[in-house]
Parts: sequence; structure tokens; C-alpha cells
Amino acid sequence: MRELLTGNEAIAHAVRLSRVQLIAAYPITPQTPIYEKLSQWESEGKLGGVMVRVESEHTAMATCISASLTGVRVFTASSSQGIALMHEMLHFASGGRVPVVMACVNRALALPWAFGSDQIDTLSQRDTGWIQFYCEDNQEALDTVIQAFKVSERVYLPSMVIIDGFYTSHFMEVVDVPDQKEVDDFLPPPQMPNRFDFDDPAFLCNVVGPKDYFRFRKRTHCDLRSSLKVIKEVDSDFGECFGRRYGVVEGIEIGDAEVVLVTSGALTGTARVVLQRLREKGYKVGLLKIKVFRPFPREEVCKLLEGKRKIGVIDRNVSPGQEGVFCQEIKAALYPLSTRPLLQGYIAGLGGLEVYPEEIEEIFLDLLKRSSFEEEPIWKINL
Amino acid sequence: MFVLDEIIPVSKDTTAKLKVGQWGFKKPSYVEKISPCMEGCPAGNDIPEFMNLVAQGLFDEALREVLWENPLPGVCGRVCFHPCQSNCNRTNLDTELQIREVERAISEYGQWMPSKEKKEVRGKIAIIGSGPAGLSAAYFLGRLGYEVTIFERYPETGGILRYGIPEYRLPKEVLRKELRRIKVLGVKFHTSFEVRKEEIYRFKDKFDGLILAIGASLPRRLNLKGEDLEGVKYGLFWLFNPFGEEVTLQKVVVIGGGDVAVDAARVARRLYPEAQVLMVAPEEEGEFPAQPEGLQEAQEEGVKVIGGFRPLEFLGHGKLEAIRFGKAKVRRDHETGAYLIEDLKGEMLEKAQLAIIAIGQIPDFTLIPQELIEDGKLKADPWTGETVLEKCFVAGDFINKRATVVDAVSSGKRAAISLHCSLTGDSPKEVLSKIRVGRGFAVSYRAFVTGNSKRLGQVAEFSEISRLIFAEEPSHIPKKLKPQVRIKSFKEVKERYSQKEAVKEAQRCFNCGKCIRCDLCFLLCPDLAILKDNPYRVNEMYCKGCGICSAICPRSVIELR
Amino acid sequence: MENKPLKAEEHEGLRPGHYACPGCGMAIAMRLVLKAIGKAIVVSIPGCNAVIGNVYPYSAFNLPAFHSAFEIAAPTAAGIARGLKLRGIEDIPVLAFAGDGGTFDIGLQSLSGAADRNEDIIYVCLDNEAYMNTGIQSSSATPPLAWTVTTPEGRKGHKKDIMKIMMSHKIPYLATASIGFPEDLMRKVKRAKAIKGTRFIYVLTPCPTGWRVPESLTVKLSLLAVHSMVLPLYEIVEGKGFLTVKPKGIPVREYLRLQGRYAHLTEDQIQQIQREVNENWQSLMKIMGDGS
Repeated sequence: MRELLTGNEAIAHAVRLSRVQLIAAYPITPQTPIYEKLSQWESEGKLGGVMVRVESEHTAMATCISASLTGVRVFTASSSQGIALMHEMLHFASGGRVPVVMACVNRALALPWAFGSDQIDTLSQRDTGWIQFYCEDNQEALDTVIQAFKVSERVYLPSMVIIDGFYTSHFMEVVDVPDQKEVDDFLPPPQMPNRFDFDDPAFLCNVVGPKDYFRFRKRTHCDLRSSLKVIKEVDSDFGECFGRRYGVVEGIEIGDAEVVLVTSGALTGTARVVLQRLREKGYKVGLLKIKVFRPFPREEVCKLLEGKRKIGVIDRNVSPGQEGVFCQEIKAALYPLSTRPLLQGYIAGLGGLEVYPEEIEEIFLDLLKRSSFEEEPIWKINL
Repeated sequence: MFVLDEIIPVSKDTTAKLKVGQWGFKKPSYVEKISPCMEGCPAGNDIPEFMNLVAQGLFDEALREVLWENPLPGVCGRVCFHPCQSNCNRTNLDTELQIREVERAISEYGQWMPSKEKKEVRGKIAIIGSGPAGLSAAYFLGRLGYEVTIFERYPETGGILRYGIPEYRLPKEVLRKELRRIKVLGVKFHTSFEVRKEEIYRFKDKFDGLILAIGASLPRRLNLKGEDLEGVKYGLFWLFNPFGEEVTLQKVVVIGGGDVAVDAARVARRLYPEAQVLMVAPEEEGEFPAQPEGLQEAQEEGVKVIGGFRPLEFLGHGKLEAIRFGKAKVRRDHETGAYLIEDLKGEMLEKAQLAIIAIGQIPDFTLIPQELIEDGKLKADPWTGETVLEKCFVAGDFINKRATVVDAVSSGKRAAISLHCSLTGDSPKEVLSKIRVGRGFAVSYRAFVTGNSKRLGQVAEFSEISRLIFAEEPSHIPKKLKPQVRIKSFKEVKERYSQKEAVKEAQRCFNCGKCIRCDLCFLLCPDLAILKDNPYRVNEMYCKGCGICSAICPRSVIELR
Repeated sequence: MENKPLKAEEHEGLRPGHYACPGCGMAIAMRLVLKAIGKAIVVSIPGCNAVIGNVYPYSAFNLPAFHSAFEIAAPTAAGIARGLKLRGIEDIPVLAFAGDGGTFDIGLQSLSGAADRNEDIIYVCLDNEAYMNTGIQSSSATPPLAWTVTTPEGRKGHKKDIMKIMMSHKIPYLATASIGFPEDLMRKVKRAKAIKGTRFIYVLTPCPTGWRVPESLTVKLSLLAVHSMVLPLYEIVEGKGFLTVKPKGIPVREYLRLQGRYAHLTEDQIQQIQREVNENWQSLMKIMGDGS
């Protein structure tokens, strides 16, 4: 059924439809409407699951992880400081191989304090072993949450479904909310074991020696890499059931493009419009949307970007002392190519700063006329 | 589907495989010991053991336990001066255990009859004297399988138990019950039968062994002027037959400060309700050798107690009219240990019609062959009871320095075992020292029969931890009849414990030196290295030698080596 | 304690062969708690209690257990308890073991949150009065004037009153317990087992290594702690409190003088400690009822 929903509401619907059994959450702007909506439904008896109103995000993740050990489907949501606070627990979740799904509403990390969308909160967690999905709009957010449960429960690794704070979370769009029955068919009840067995009792996750740590870490890495295959399968199945599929990356007009801009998140929506405009003017430009950031789709990126002369990456984040994180990852992915393209990083939209279509156009044009790349990213800020 | 233990650490191996016992060298051992009360008891009663049984309400088993070492629990449970209680470790926490009262309760509530250890008759034994020593010797010889005959010159059996201790302290009914237990072993009694000296020589004609338990049957005399006046009696012998002429007396004076003197005074109190009854002794009032309890009861009953005087002369014409006393003081000679009386300035005159001299009894050596005596003393080993006459032994007040019932029981037991040894070709001294209970006079009959005497060597000291583990709970003392009621009859003065009270009192016992399976060591071992066995076993694979078990055992049973 | 043989049950939740120091009070406490709890799921966190649980691939627990993070014993247990109920498993208690660090310091927030939500867990705080596993560093549970490696002149400040903190959450059951009174401890665990909601049991577990005492004195120290009123033993059930063991009222110096960590105390300092013990006792008596 088509409804006018904000991104947060869309996510809340997805959680309800996925028949999540336990939701432990803590309020933080701009995630709070998810928490509030679910609480409202719980009090109205419309939510199948149990809400646990915890006293911190760290505890929220701890509660989700430990409940997941018994084999129930769990969810939480957070942003910014909350995600940073639960950092320890994020490692715990992936190392503990629990299929927790978390909705992350991007927001700048203090200090300084700011509330607008910035990807640094989720990108700071890129080494924690979580699958990371960056969503462009409200529909994708809803669909990805449902897909994430299916993926995580198959690979036993946690996932983050990430949207831009305010731009996606608070803006209303028309969203197709699937029927419960449709979702049930696609996502059956969890089939996970209760890890606490009285017949053959075990002490789970106690201290290991270096050799075993090495072994488990390698296993986590390998499973995270091979989850890419599962993500594609699930996306494909979703496409068949609901008529929408997203892929792990999306190339727009890449085929004959000389110059490709790489984006993620809500920015992509603006970039699509600019792309259209520039194409109408005759420029051979293309757009690459990165949806799945972890595991990084190296193969897909290489395939799409090989042979392109110039690549630009827009990062709505910066890893201080280095550059934008997406830029870094693209560089690493393209490294094995025999001929490497000219790659320029651009930093825009930090702290929720508006990125106007004109600015993206400027970036495209800058990229077109560039003959060399600068080591330092180009900082785009409208004055 | 993932295999869980491939993706996360799943630890199922049991730590029970790990030999953490190798961390420490010291390991605990269970070394049972005797308790101080056991060491103090001349009969060698296994007090911790029978207390443990009573604590569980098992009176029959407790009686059986007592009867291993003492055939007269009903008697001792009433009249014993309880040296066991003086050693009680519990005094370090609150009050001593009322061991004597519990022993009495055992004799009242327990049902058990002893039987012979062996069915075949080992031999025939004669015992002269049916007092506590003779009865004890007869009992143990009977259990060992001998055919015992007791010869008693008085019309009834029991000796001092019947004739010397008044009904209000030891009812005759109780004595009857005790005797039944001895009779069941086949012991035969010939009463009103005086064995002549010559027959003692020829005892071997009819018997394999002989025990002389004829007691201290002569009174100690003061040898004062007027001692032969009418109305001057001697303590124990007056008690044997307290009824003299039916004279209305105004005053009775008992001379002496011991238990016999106290009994004489209290009997006189009952027999002569209108008379004034006095008890005079040279010791200070607090130093009288009598059991303090009896003395206090006497005073409650109206007996006036005067210390610090000794008699100088009995005055009267044919009949006693008065006694002259001189002030005196008793001191102990540091070298000999003997008590000496020192005369002081001052006198007291007491008008009296009846004087009872109760200053002790001495054995009558005219009853026995001369060979057994040397320098006016009995030529015998006080420990084994051996005399110069082969297979002839002595026991009881006849030989003992300390003239108490329990000492008599003890010496009777030793004489019996010694006699048995002499018949089987073993050395009495050697055998007795093997079964000695601690460092005192007592030996254990049970150890003799079972061969198990490991425990008897060491005494368990008070374990300081007991002060922390046990709550303070002083003894409940049984009620006594009111003094006004008491003196109207010879009814037993002290009540017995109810079963519940006896159990409660027994539960106060620390059971020093004996493991009663309280499970404290088992429960508090951090390494689960103590296993329940008989009573416990240490698993050296896990024991790190921390010593918590040894430190926590309130009975000092566990030693860390 | 009555002088009667204890009816020690046969079930053991802790296995021998664990790596606790010889004479470890915590091992005794864990053994007794697990003995009394029967079938349960155990949450263990970094600290001595996890070392006792042992390292991969061994387990010293005869029960399913999970090694969680330092500050989240309570919500871990809560998450498991909720998960079980969602799966229709109603009668398995979830037990969280935490040390004083994981309760008084780093874990206080999450414990408070769990208690506030009245999560259905049994939380057992095993207090050895410092961060012992990492080498005797002081915590807010270290009593005043005690030596630790990070407070060599004696700790300044007071011991945090965790019982008062937990009482203020109005949870259905709180109790203090001591390994010197094993029967009392096990009875409290059993009682807690039968109650729903957040149940908090505090056990003082002397540490020979950190308190600088001979290994054999662990239980004796526990007894002295109770009898000198340093550790009153009581229960608070639905807000009503009562003592479960009457202390003998021994002077606190008897308890202090056995411990190397107090060897540096002056007479004035001993008096100071005695005063504080007396004040804490008075304060506690105000909330204790009579009878049981």
C-alpha cells in the first residue's frame, strides 16, 4: 500500500513487518521517531515484539546481542554519539556472529556538536565486521531493512541499514508498504538455534589463545566477504517478490561515460538529477552509487570503473589526516587495475550542510576539465 | 546452517581434566583425635561420639556407645563429679556441656542390652565386692566371654551405690536397672557371702582368676578424746544404716567437707526435721572437697556450713553432749602435695547429740592375705591392678587414690582387661598402654576389642574458629525440686532432661577431635577437592593445599601436611 | 550456624580443575551459588570469575554460560532472559556473576538500568574489594584505608554502599551473603530463584592474594567480617528488611589485624574504621524490621 512516510517511519514499518521479536533502543536525534513509532504501536498492540527501553545505546546493543544468542530476531536503531558509544558492542556482535540488524541515521559526531547528516558515525565502524548498507531514499530504507534480516540470519553477521539524518529520516516520500503476508513469504520466522544447550553445556566465547583468535578472525573476514553473494541473492529474490531490486552498487549511464562520479546515500538522489541535466547538455558523464559498503564490492566497482579515465568520489565525511572514506576504499578497490584512472576526492555536506545540484554540477565539470588529481580532497562548501 | 563451534568459541571440555593439585605440595589428612573431656573421663567414655548420636535423637545407639566404656551410665549420670565437664572446650565460647545430664538422659531413654563378644566360655572368674569396681570388672569380663561370680558380704548388691549414696541422689530403682544389664551377661551374684582370707589363697581351685574389689571399708578416725561416746558415728557407715535410737535431737554435727559429709548432713536434715544440722570442716567454705553442686543443695536445704574449724574433743557423759572445735587452716605442702591442717587461735563449742565423722575411708587390709601388703600399703600396680599373687588383681577404692565411682569403674575395667591378658599370655602393661585414652587413667574397652586405637593418642585442642562458627547458647540446666519439698522425702532432687532438651544440649557439643560429617570442609573447598567417603577423602588431583579445610574444621580433625 | 550436619546437596554447578588462586573466596562463593541455583544459564564477565570459568576449550561451569563484556553483566543476563521467554522457555533462571568493578564502577550504569526495568535476572556481585584479576588496583568497593597497588598509602574515601543504591531501585529481592555462612547463602539463592524480577545478591569474597593473608584464612575472615558488623547479613524482600544472622559484635580490629592490606594502620585509623562500621550499622538498623 502506498503511503506518505518519512524515512524513519518507513524503517519502523519494515521492523514491524519483519516480525522483530525484541527491540532495545535509546533515543537520539534524528533516530527518535523510529523508537517513538515502535513504542506507539507496542502500546496499541500492533507490534508483535517487545520493546526494551534501555538506559544507553551500549546497553541497547548488549541487550540485542544477548537476546540474539537465544535465537530471537532483534533490532535497534541509533545515530552519531549512540553508535560511537556502542562501538565496543559492535565488535562483540560480529565476533559473536549474531544477526542483529541496526538502523543508523547518519549524524555528525561531536566535537563540535552538530545534528545534520554526516557519514562519519557509521564509517567509523567500518572495521567492526558489520555489513553496511547505504540507502538513498525512504523506499530503499524500508526494503533494505527487510532484506537485511534475511541476509544476516543466513550469514550470521550483523547489518547496518544507513540513511541520512533529516534528508531521508525526516523527509516525506511516497513509499510502497508491502503487505504482511508478502513479507512473511519472503522472510519466514527465524530458524536460529538457542545457543544455550543444557544437554551439552558449553562456556560460549571465553578467552582464546592467539592461534584460535587468528582462526576465528579469519573466519569472520571470509564469511563477511562471501556474504556479498548472499546479499545479491536476497536482493534478487526481493526483486522477484516485490518488483524492486537495488544491487550492491548501481551504475547510472556508466557505459559510455568518460567521467564517473561515485556517491552514496541521499546525495545520490541529487546527483541523478544533475547527471540527467549534464547528459542532456551532451556531457559523457556517469554516476556510480555505492549501496553495500561492507563487504566492499571490489569486483563490481572494478568492473564498472575499469577503463574510465576520470573518477570523482563525493564523501559526506572525512577521516581526518587522510581523506574521505569512500574515496579511500575506491582507491584500494581500483589498485589492482593495470591502468588506474585519475581519481579525485571531494568532501561535501559535512554536518548536514546542503549539497545543491549546482555544486554537484561544479564537481562534474571540475572533474571533466581536470588533467591531474590532487592528493588532498577538494572541500566543497557553499558560501 | 552454520556449525556454531566453527564460528565462535564453544568451550565444552571439562576443567576436571586439569591437574591443578600440582600447584601445591601440602595436602590435608583427616586425623581423628580424642577430646579433652574424653581424656578427663576416667572411664574413657567416647563423649563426642555419644553426643553426636544424641544430637540426632538416637538414644539407643548412644546407650550402646556409652556401654562400650561404662556399664553404669545411670549411676554416673547422677553422681559423677564430671571431670569431663571441667575440660570441656565449649567453656571458651559460653558454658560447659552438661555431659553428666546427657549421660543420665541416655540411660533413661536408650534401650540396649549388652551381649558377650564371644559365645564360648573363656574361663571362670571370681570377684569379691559388688560395688562399682566389682560390677565394672564383672561387666567387662562378662562381655569378654568369662563366667563371672560376684561375692558380696552385704545382703544386697551395689556396695556404696546402694548403701552409701542416698536415694535422693541415686534411687535404688536406677541401680536395679543397671544391675539388670550386668546380669544379662551371665554374671552370678552371691550376697550375704563373706569370703574368708584363707579361701582367697585357694581361689585357683575353683576359678581361673580373682579380682578384689572390696572397697575402702574402714572409716578414718580422728583419734580424739571422747570419740567412743555414744552418738559419735562414722559417715559412710552411718549412711549404711542411718537410723539410730529414736532420740529427739536438737543438733547434728557432721565433721568433714567431702561428698560423704554432705550426704550425711542432707540425710540427717531429712531424718531430723526439727534438729539443726551443721557441717564443719577445716577448709574454707569455698575450698571444701565436696562437689559444689551438692554443697549448695545442702545449704539450700538448711544445712549450716562452717569452714575453718577442726574438732579437738568430744564432750559428754556416756552420750555425746558437745564438741569442742579449734580454729584451723588447711594448706598444701608444696613438696609432698599432701594437705596439712594448721591450728590457729580460737575455739568454738557446739552442743550436739549426734556427731558424724566423715573424713574419709581406708581399706581394710585384715580381709586379705598378708603377702599382698607391704609397709602397711597394698603391694599392687594401681594402673593394671596386678598383685604379687598370680591371676589376682585389685580394683576400686581398695587401690585407688581418688575414691570416686567413675575411678572405680575405670580401675575395674583395667583390672578385667589385665586379668584377661594374664590368661591369654599378653602383658597387661603393654596392652593397657596401647588402649590408653590420652594421658590419664582411662583405657578404651572398645579399642581393645576392635584393635582400633589410632585416635587415642592425640587430644584435640580448642579450635578458635569455633568461637566464630557457633552462636552463644548457654546450657539449659534441669530443674531441681524446691528445698522445702526436698527435705520432706528422699525423692530424687534433680529432674532429668526431656528427650528434646537432651538433644538440644547434645547439639551444643563441638565433638572435638571427631568428624561428625558436618560437611563444612566438603562445602567450603574452593576446588571441590574433598569428596564424601568415610568420612571424607581428598582428591589430590585438585587440592591446591590452601588449608581452608584445616582452618575451618571446628573439631581440629584436619591436618595439613 | 547450628552444630548439625548440613544437608549438603550433591548437585555441583562448578567443576574442579579451575584456575582460581589457592584459597580463593570467590571460587567458594561461585560453587555455593551454582550449587543452590540448579539449572540456570550463567553470564560471566572479565575478572576473576571468568578466569575461574576458564579459557577455551575448557569450561569450569556445568551449565551453559556466556562470557560477556566487563560493564554489561546485567543487560546480558536480561537479554538472554527476555530471549528465552520469547521462545516460550519460562523456568530457566539467568544468573549474572560480576565482580566489584563490574558492579560498583564500570557496570553501575547498566546494572541500574536493568534494575530500573526490573529485568528478570539474578545478579550476584562477588566483591573482593579491588580489581584483583588485573593486579590489585583499587575500586570504589575498596574499603577506606586499605592498601592496594594504586593506593599504597591506603584508600581515601568510603566504600560505595551498593546495597543502598540497589535498594533505591525498589527491586523485589536484595540480600547480602557470606561464604562463612554457606547454608545462609544457599538459602538466599534458592529464595531468589523463586522470585521474579531483578534479584541482587552481594557476597563478600575475601581474596588472599589481594588482601595479603595466608590462603587458609579465607573463610575465617568471612566469619570475622560478619561478626564484626563489617558485613551485616540481611535480606530485603519487597522493601522489608531483616537480619538473617545475628553478629557477635567483635571489635573490627580482630578482622583488620589479620590482613596484610591493613598492616600499616595506626591506632587512630583503626578507631576511625570502627566508628564508620558502627555508623553504618546504626544506619542499617533503622531500616531493618524484626522477625523474619
